[in-house]
Amino acid sequence: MTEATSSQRDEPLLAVQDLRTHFSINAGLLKAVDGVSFDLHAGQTLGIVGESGSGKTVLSRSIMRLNLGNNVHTSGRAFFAGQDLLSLPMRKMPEIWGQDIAMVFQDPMTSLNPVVQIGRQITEHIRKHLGTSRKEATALAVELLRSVRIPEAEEAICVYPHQLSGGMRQRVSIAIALACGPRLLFADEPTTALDVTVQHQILNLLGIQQNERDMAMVFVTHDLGVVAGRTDEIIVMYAGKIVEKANTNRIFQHTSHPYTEALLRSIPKTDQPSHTRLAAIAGRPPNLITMPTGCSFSPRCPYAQDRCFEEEPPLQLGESGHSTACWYQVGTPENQQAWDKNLASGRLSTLAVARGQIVDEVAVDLTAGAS
Amino acid sequence: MAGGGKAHLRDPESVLVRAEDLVVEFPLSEGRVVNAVSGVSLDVKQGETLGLVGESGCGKSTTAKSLIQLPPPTSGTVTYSGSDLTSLDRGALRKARTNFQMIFQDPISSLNPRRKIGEVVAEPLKVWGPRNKEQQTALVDEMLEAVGIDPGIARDKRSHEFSGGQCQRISIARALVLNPQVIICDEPVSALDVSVQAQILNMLEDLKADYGLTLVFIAHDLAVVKNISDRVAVMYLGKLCEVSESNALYDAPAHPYTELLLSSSPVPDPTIELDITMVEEEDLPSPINPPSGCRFRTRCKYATDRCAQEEPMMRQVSQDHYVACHHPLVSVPEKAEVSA
Repeated sequence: MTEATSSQRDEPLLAVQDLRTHFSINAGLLKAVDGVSFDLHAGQTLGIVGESGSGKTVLSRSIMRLNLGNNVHTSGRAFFAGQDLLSLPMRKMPEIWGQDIAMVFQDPMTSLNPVVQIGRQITEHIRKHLGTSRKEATALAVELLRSVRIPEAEEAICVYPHQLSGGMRQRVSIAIALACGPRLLFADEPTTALDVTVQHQILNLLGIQQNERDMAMVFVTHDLGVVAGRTDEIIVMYAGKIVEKANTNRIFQHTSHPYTEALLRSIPKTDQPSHTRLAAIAGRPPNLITMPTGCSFSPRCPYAQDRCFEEEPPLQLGESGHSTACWYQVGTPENQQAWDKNLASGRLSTLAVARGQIVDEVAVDLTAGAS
Repeated sequence: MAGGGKAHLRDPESVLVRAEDLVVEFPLSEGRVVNAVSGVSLDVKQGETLGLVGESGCGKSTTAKSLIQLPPPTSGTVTYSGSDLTSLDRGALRKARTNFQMIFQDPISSLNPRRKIGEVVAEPLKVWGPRNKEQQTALVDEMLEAVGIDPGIARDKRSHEFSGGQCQRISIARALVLNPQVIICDEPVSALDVSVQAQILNMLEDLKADYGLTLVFIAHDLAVVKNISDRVAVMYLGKLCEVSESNALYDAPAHPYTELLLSSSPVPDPTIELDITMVEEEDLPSPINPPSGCRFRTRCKYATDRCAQEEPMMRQVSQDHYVACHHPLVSVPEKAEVSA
């Protein structure tokens, strides 16, 4: 939304470099996030999109250092305003949480304390970080509730979460997140549990607050419809890695990774006539413990060739800052040839797209092709 | 929105299920009631998919469940192939219900985690199916195959060994095993990822064609409903707002509520201008004390005094497109102003 401002500020607010979060579990080492790098400038919005299990939530929690436990191994760097969050001592993090970086979670019922009045849930945070008196903090809480458009804010500070609707609760979570004026807000599926009309209001509200406060925002979602038109840049994640990264318009208009294309094609749209056959994606997301060699999307990819099963494609920077990790990018002649070849040989993952078939088990190489 | 009237109902001879004036009330203390469904009339033709959309709490699930008398509506009638389900005795109702099956939202919790998939799918057969074990197994296998699951592998596994999408397909197999006429799908894809959602929607279309099914499909996602439905009914606070052939509804919504839903639903296209002004939570009325007249008037930008006083009746807008609104967004031909 604010492309002009990004060039004026060269230093990114958040610079994530080669972030990896692995969990050791009984079954082996689960690579939830595996080598993710991106920059986010002040006031900008980044969308992180992926299906369940793609690592998008673990990524945002790793930057916040919220993944606790002895079995978590995080490596890489996450510079926030020049300071590496991942190498900070844990006891320093509470100073960052809320004040510099805040988070809004998916389910407002579980992220709010059910037995504490919402006013106190906001002021608690303000008094700790800003050291204001109880009275000032309450006045600020009322102000915040007004800014998230909660009617009769003076009375509302005395209610409990169960007295509010889902949308109202999410407004309270947003008020809490905004209370200490963070410079970066993580919104992890903030509207997934809400009705479309309420979702629309909450998304607008987040946008307005972001503009007023010149705050950067990371928007984690599985819904490409939610991020369209509301983010500056989008990252598409698959199996713990970034497969495509570009500014929002480019991702939609010049989609280059087959996974992004597959996601976009599988969404029903209101401008299609009824009973339009959807292009399904064959197979299931890979097991993050025993990942296929080569490209992690290759078994499900309609364009996969021998090289895709052997060699992992790096995230390559193309034109207009558009990066893609694919050997046969959508829109290239090589991609078209790969499609024709796979269609002719009857590769199941290709047929799944061409005919909308359901394919659960996909081959991890090209030899087991014809059905 | 009030949506009284039955102008949108079709010839009773031509429909498979016809519900008239359904009212479902849930009692509260001190004589108050939740007006979950207040006078909804619907019909579904054989082989048709009826989509029901609306926000949470609008009564769409309650309406669909009252079709199969779960629970029986407070008043109103449900006619299925000539007999009124609301007046049947227990035994006859149980028998009639075998023609209706349901698929639920959460695929994992709708399968018993302690039982094998083969048993889960065979359960309806133990009550109504052939007594013969081999015949039962053959039917179970046929249904699992129809939903793209290998019965040889799946039969002895339990639900936790399957993904959400596969569990939903197993639920579909269980629903199909008694060869029902009507399947009520209550938000069957809202808990699934988009790629899996596409599989399930495609599969429901195929099964509908193969087995001659009639679907009642409940969802809050307008694009999903459009994709699967032949006819869509929009509900608000226990009433119908608009009933239409699905393409017509999306091309030219006639009810302000439908317009609101459409303008709020996210579209995966960044070039579409978003209305970013809408931030206030509207004053959501309660089904305990619904507004007079048109129930949507408290949120409607076109509302006038008339909307508070008089409940709008269903009127025909165009062929197979009906709206219950005093100020519809498309012009209504005069002669159609007849309410049943």
